[in-house]
Amino acid sequence: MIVAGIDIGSSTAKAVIIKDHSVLSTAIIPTGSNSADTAMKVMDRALTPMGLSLNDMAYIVSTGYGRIKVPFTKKNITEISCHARGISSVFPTVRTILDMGGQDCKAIQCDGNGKVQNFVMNDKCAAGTGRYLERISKTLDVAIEDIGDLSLLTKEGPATISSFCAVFAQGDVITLLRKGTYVNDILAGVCEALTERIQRLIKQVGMTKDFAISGGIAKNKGVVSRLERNLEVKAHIAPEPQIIGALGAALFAEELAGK
Amino acid sequence: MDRTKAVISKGDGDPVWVIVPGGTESTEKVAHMALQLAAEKAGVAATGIRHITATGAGREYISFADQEAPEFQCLARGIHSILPSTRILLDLGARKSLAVKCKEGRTLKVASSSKCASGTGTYIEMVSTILGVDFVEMTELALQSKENLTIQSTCAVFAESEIISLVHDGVKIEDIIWGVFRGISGRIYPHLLDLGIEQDITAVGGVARSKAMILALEEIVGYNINVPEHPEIIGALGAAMIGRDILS
Repeated sequence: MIVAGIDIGSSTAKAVIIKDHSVLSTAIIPTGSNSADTAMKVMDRALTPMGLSLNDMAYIVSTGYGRIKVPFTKKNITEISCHARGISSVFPTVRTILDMGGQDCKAIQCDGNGKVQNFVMNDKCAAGTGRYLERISKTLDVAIEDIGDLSLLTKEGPATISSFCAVFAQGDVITLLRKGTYVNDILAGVCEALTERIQRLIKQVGMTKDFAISGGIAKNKGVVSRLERNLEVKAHIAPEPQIIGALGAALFAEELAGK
Repeated sequence: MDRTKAVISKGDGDPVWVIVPGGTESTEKVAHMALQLAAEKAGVAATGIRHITATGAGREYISFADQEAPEFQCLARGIHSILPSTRILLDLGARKSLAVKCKEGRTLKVASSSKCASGTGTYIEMVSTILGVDFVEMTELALQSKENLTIQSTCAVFAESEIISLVHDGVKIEDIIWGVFRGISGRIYPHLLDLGIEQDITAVGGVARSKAMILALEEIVGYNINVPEHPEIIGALGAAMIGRDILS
């Protein structure tokens, strides 16, 4: 039996196709302005190399910010449930999960079956989300995927970003640049600030020893290593942390198709 | 946009004022330039000014000032010389919104937010950039709206995706912009509740120039809101008046 999970996030769309519990194919593309089109494209990207089509899917579950706009889905499930399910299939011992995407950040607690017990979420303020890094990336003309690595190569230590707000922080960054502060030191300050905000959510939901990070932020070594330092844990990170939500959706699809 | 204002008060004449854009120079340089321009306009030598009070977000950087005074104090003093019946003063700036309860030039209570752009001119600027419509046009368009939409995003950054999807859904631009002003007014309103709403209410600061902003605030507050002719200069005017109070 072949099923699919599709995660339409605010920045990227992800698709995972699984057959008998194992992953056949995955795809990640940027989210366009039309969620339905984006959903078609990302599914095509995952299906075509396998010589499959939508009709071969026994069940499809959608999740993420644009989940209700996916035309071919049979059911939509929140990304909180899907991340918990996805992570626990990869790391069964994990009980605390951090997922940061383009427009939100969630700290989730789950049980041994990947069922959500509790969660806290920030989706009101960009200062603790991927958008914050996107704006900094544009202001400093540094690719978003390089921010983390560069932030670990400081010259004089992290610069202080005095504003909390993502918009005002952009002004702070420009002021620091004018003063001649090293770009890496600014990036270090940015990652420190972001880490502090994320940490607050994790502490609110309750930290456990087995901790995992999913979503785009898991690829940012600057934030991951600072979180590990502050929380005194080693984080579990999947080989492709961005597809965890779609993987969880696919696992739900498998379960629902069997019913 | 951050701007620097200078006001000179001389003898019994009307105060003279200038407004200078921030630009890339240091805060002190811009302040000095503003002072020079105002002095020229007043027909005095900048060196002959007897007392200088600095206020606003950059007040600590002005080494040539005789003293610093917080914004709320200057605003309360400034509005007293123009609209003395004002009890609640609302300062709508680029980077903050501030509400001051005042009486006869004195500050009774203050409520403000400057940590977040959600209730500030910066939010409007962001929308202006997204839609490619300037501040003046935004007001004109908003006043044409017949709908009562509200932009839900608290965060100015998230407003971008909300607005783009509304545009894609075919919502009229004037309705979106009016919704932006309504959203901002909803985030300023709690400051007024903190102070206790009381008549008369006066709005100052650059954002107070937008009739749509004032209308959205009046809608939620339920009272008429006054706006002085030059709403941007009230803080600097108050700073000048405080100097005069000291000298006399």
